[in-house]
Amino acid sequence: MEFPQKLVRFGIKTSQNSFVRVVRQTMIMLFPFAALGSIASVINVSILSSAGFIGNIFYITKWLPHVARIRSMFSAFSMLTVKIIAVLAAYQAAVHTARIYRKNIEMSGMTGMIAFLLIALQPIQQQYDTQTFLKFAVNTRLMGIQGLFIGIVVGYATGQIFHLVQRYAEHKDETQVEMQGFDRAYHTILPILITLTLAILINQLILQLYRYQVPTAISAYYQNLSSKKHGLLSTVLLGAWSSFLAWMGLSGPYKAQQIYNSDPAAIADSTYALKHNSAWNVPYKYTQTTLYHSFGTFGGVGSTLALVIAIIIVARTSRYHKVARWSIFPVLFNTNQSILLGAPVMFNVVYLIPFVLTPVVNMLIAALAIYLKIMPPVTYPTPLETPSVLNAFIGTGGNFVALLVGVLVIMIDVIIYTPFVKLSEKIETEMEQQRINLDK
Amino acid sequence: MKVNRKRSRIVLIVAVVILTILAIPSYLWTKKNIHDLGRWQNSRLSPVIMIPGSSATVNRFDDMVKLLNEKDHQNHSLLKVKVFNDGKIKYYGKIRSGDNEPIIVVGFQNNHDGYSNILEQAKMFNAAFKSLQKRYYFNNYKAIGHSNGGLVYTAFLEKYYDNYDVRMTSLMTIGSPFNFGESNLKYKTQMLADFIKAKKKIPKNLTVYSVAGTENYDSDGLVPLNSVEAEKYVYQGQVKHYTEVTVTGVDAEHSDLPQNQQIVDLIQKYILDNPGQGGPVPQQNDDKNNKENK
Repeated sequence: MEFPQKLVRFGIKTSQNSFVRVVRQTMIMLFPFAALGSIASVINVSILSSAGFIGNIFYITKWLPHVARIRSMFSAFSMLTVKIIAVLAAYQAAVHTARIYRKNIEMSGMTGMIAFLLIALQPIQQQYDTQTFLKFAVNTRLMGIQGLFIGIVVGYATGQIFHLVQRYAEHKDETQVEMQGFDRAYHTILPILITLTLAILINQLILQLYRYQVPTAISAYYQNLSSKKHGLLSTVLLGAWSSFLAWMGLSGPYKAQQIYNSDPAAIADSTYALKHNSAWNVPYKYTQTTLYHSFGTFGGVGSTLALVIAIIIVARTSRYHKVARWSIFPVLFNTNQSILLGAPVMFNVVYLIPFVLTPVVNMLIAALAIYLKIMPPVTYPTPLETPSVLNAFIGTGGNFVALLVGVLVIMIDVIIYTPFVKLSEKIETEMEQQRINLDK
Repeated sequence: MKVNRKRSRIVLIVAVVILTILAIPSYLWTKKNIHDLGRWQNSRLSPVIMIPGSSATVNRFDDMVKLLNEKDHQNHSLLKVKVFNDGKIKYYGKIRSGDNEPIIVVGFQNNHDGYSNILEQAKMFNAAFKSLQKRYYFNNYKAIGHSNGGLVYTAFLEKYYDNYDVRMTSLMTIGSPFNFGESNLKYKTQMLADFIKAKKKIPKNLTVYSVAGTENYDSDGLVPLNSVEAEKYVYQGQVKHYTEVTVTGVDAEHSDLPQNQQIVDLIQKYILDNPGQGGPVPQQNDDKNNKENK
């Protein structure tokens, strides 16, 4: 397929901006943690928990000895890899920014990480008699992939502070670097002081916002939107908006993980369906459970299962294939951090269109199938991290048309993603070419 | 490059095969799950679950059930559940099919007095309840606890009740010593203090009847009236209704209370469902019934 030269050039141009370069580098470097961590997370939730998919259909918690202990090990692994990915991102982003300007990379990285933790800090001060205790708690919502953007921005800003303040350039020579050990450390005092002071001030500002309940108000507003509106249009719009925010590394009105009891319409539906022993005439047909969670997030937010398949079918570069192979197992269980970072998909303009478009298309197809009464709405409970293709199948009580609609949807998604995979590869190879030309 | 592509394709094919295979257990699981949920949701079963006091066995309420059946002609079936110290649960008797209000008595091998034993018994009751729930899929029940049985129920409400989506509609405690043998309320036992501390865990929509018996003016011969009345510090203000009743006269001695004619009357009137009779009917998931009537 031929792409207009303009599009390719635009893609190359944007990717030369220092921030974009840092973002890209950071995400690629986080890929190993994301890949291993998301596999551990799938094993933890889907296989070993009593609420998970494999755990449920094979009754694993019933017969596997020491299941709780095994589970806690996998849980720990995912907790300190994918679930703190934003902290790691702050480190990486600071390192890559400092490298661009040839500043002290490891100090910048550490400072960036600490700055991020400081910003996310929610200190609890307790007074016992004359002694004051400071308990450290961090805003856990910022630690995972929803905090990635903030992590990268903090890291980038740290690198920039090192760039502006540290009047000291690194030697290229390794032995020289080792010789000047103390000087290297000494010259980072000022940038560290400035970065951490700023971080503390920002943290105070955020705590102040919390005091005025601004974040609570926003989340209450979202909650309201997602729990009160059950029409087709609002579900599709909120689904698209949530996908867009996820692309930016932020969380939207529809949560990544479907919490069964959080949607009152879904509860009403399931009560109705159980009472009447049929899911066809439930009161709310186009809920987020039916449309967004069952069809709008095939392989996690942004229908990334289709992206993995598209890569396997059309990609030419070995890098893409490696990422796809590492991602396919967790993505089957809707855990897509590894593909989001490895491709990378997030912050990648090329993938923005399919990332938001595929969920919308999927939801509309599902809605049409429900409207035409060839498939009932998804009303019955499904276990956590059920593979998307099977999610609608289980949630409709084993309706085979729902399974077929799922297969159809995934095929359409692959077709949508294919040209974007090609475009993205093309941009990458052209950039490679340019770099080779420059080196010559 | 070709190697990479080939490998990826193999991985993709494996994934598709695995998914296809998983579809079969998925289908079976969802069918079973819906069946179970449907049974639970549509269950009309609303048992009365009784817990006897210390030193008593599962046969403790036999006379009371006999009296109840003589009175309301509902022929409630009687199921006895005994929990052994090693965790084993044994069932005696069975629930007649079509009986929507059976009486279930849960007794424990460890039926000793004392706070630590009561906590132990609450844990055992929880195990029995879980097992009953799995067997009969009821979504609401009524509770009666005689003597320490009322304390076991209180510990259960504060510790385990939350784990179930099964509603206790009403609770009757009969001569339950909330402050053990202590008649002066100034001295709160550890148990009473703990109960009061965790009272927020008790469901707000519960109706509680506290029945005390008295032989003289301040005791049923074993439990001081003040100790029974200490119950109000746990339930009053937390539950929807809290009513105290004091029974005197014949059979008002502590261990006679379950077969006391007046208490049997009270149970029949306030705890049982009373089909076709006037009087206060304890709410039986009103919303659900209403929907069905429409």
